[in-house]
Amino acid sequence: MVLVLVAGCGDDAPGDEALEPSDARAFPVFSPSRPDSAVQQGLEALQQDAWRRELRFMDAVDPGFAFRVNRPRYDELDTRFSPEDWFTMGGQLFTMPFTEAMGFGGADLPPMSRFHLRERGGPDSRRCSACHWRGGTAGAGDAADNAFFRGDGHTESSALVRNPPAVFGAGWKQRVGEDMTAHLQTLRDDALAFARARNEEVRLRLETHGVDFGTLTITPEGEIDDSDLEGIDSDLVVRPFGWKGAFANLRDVVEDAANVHHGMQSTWFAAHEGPARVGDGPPEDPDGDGIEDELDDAQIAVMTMFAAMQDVPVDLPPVEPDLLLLYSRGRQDFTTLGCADCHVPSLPVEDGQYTLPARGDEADLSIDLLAEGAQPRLRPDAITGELRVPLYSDLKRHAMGETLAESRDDAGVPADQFITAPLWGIARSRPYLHDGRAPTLEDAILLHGGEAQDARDAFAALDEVDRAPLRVFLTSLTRGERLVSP
Amino acid sequence: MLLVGGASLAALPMLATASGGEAATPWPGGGPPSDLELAVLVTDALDLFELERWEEFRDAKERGEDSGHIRIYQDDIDAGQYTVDDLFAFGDSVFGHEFRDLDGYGDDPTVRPGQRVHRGALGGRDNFSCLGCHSVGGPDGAGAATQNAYLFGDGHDLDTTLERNSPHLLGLGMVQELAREMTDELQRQRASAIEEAAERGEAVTVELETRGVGFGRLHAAASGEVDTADVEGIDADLVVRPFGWKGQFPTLRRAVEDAARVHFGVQTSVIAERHRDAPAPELLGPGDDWWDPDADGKQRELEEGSLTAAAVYLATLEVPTIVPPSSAALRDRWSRGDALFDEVGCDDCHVRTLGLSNTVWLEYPDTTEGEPFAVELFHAGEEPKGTGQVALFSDLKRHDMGPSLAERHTDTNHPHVPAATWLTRPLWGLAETAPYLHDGRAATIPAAILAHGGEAQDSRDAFEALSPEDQASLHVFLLSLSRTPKLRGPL
Repeated sequence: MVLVLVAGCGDDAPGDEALEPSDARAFPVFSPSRPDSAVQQGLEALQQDAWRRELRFMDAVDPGFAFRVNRPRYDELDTRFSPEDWFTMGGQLFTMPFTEAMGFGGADLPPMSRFHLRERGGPDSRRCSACHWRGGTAGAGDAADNAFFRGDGHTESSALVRNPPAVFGAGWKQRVGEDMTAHLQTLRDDALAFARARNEEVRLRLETHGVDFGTLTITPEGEIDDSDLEGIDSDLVVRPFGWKGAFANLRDVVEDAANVHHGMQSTWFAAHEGPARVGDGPPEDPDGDGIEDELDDAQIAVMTMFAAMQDVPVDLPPVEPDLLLLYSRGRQDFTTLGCADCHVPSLPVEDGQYTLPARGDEADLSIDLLAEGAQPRLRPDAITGELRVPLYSDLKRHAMGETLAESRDDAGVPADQFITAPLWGIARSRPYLHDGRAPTLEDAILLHGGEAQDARDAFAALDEVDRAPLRVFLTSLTRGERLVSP
Repeated sequence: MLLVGGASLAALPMLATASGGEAATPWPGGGPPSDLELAVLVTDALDLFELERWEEFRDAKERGEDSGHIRIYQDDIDAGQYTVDDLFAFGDSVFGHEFRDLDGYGDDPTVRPGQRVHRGALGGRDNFSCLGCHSVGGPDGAGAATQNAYLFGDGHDLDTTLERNSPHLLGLGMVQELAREMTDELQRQRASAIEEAAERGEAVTVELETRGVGFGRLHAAASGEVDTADVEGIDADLVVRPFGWKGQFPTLRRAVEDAARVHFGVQTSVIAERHRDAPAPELLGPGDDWWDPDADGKQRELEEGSLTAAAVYLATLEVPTIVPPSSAALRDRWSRGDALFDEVGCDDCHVRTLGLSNTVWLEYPDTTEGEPFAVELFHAGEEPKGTGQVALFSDLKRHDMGPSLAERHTDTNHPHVPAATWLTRPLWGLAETAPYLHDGRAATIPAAILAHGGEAQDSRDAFEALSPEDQASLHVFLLSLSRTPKLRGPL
């Protein structure tokens, strides 16, 4: 019996605490597995809905219950709980309305503010799933869900407008980015060593996974000139998350989003970020709302794992013969028109080992996305065994021209630069582009400019009949079917 | 962190039985769906999912196919070409349609879509589809806080706006008919008063009342003039307007028309014709051509027939249901909460049921001379259906809710409704519609109750005075105001 706790438990000596299990319990509200049969899927979805409802009643009787059962101790994560448990706990935190009692908001913030105040945020929403629902839980956001970042807290035009991107496939996105980063940094380090050893200048072309990130010039003294770098930060870290490539890993995304959208400050975030980001209250409670450890390390871990374990979008062609013909042609057009130059159909990855590195003295948490991620999962090529992630992105920043440029640079990234948006699952993540300005795929294509101008013009030059194949192909990039309730 | 008190745990014996292995699923109603029920739910969900994918592909194949698909002509409806199922399907398509430039989206095709702070009564560009802000709790549901609309602002500053959360859209056909019947009854009372005053040659005062809901008093003078100064919670024309947070719209037709206009800049052909007869540039735009008031080069942006289809669709959606908890202990709580709802006085305004006399809604066209389209409210459209006792938990009357729920200013289109006055929000479906209150400020039901003031102050105080146990029980009851579990594919 997990939940019977004697009042006074908390008075136990810290040494004994580890022996007592926490209140946490993994209720089956979300599951990474997907039964093959539709009827089984339906039954499981209804079971999960039944749990969702009953837990909500239980939380009414015992306020805070739903939050508490999803607050494991970090050391329990790999002892008492399994990756499946992380997934359902993370999912419940992802869909739970955060309340003031949990730490929602801050004493220095208005109760809600649709337009963010500088780096400090809104809050603008009660739960993650409010803005990640298109295409199912952990999906994308609608135009109305756009976030208005780093504004003056009052006016619409002061903010940077960003449409919530889909979370599906996120673990693989990070994994590819990690591999690319590792390779680029190895190239750099080897070149540095080479330049020093040979005492000569080295000009290094940075190419990994078939993506060209420009060149580095390294002097014999080991000085690096990165002025010819392209589409990546000078630390050579590929940052796949955020429309402009702001984050390299999902835990950073989760903590940042929890802070700016909900005023839920993770223990780590509160301790490591400055007053401009978290408020200038006491160190343990920088937002001054009287709640400490609003989301603790273990909660951040399960939320991160929920995101990382999300299913992999699929290419699901239409069945009708006329549409199928168009699909096949559109698949080719995607390359011949030049879309694939940046929206690289797939990038190789070493393996599916997703690791959440420890930040304190806890252990790393690891899973194998190939075996433990949510279904449908990625599969290695049946013949070659090669593992490729069908992202349709090069994870590189590109200049997209005047039309798409924002009103100002953001965190050092020029106003017109965006990371190539992955197109997997795109049929389930409209509207399109960074601010959701395009209601349809065609609108989105036609709004491309800058480095994509030629590809856009090639599409625009087609007549209506010849544009259809590409649209049909893109409409096939969707999320795996899964029955849900509600 | 260890906060659980012994008393409340006693209420959760289900967990005790769940220790160790797999816990039994807490099925609402006690058991799992039968194989047949499950098969029906699965089939419906897959059919709808396949249909939606098919529509997506058709539109991909032929740009604008989707827009053509929602272009329904009122003349065709008048000619009897469509069944109610047809109109439901069309309405569903309208609801999910992503409005875009070729539909006349917005009022300037060169401007980037997206303007959340509305420009006065003209509106903004909030989103591309109805579905976009009505998805919480399932299809045709409510809106999240991010989906709030910022109405009647200066086009820039949040602090100039009226902030409104999107309500759910279930069961509205019955509400619409109920409001019509209540209106009829009140207007009959007015007519009798006028008649009586004329007969007696002296002023007559009548207590306006329908379905047990009092709407104040009306004075009719012998001359036939009426004084509505003492009428309460309703406009002087005695029309019950059940839609919109402040009770602005009498019918779904008018509510849809306004929503398309202010959220998408999509103007119905009906609006344009009305504009011809009574120009309203502050609502519609400065265009020289009355057919295209927003001057974006598109006329008849939404056909009258499409408006009819949308209204019929909304009128025949599922009706919210009460889904009590599964465990016996929680069901005891639920029963206690059910009783507390009345004891505290919630039901003074959130009247549990209002009786419906008629079972048919007549959807009249606006501009054609066609016969109204008859909708059998208890047969057409989605399951589940309600009964003639419409369990909406509202009196459909406006009330003063006190200064803390007052808005910044009045609604420009309804300046006579004071800033602190709101229509009693129907509570059916409540549990699936968080966050609560007109601006979504309350994350939880207790927070919403405690934010009540004005005419609800006493009930609010009575709730606050309850023991934590009783507060929890009332909360459990209110969480059972839900919708029947269903399945669907990803939206």
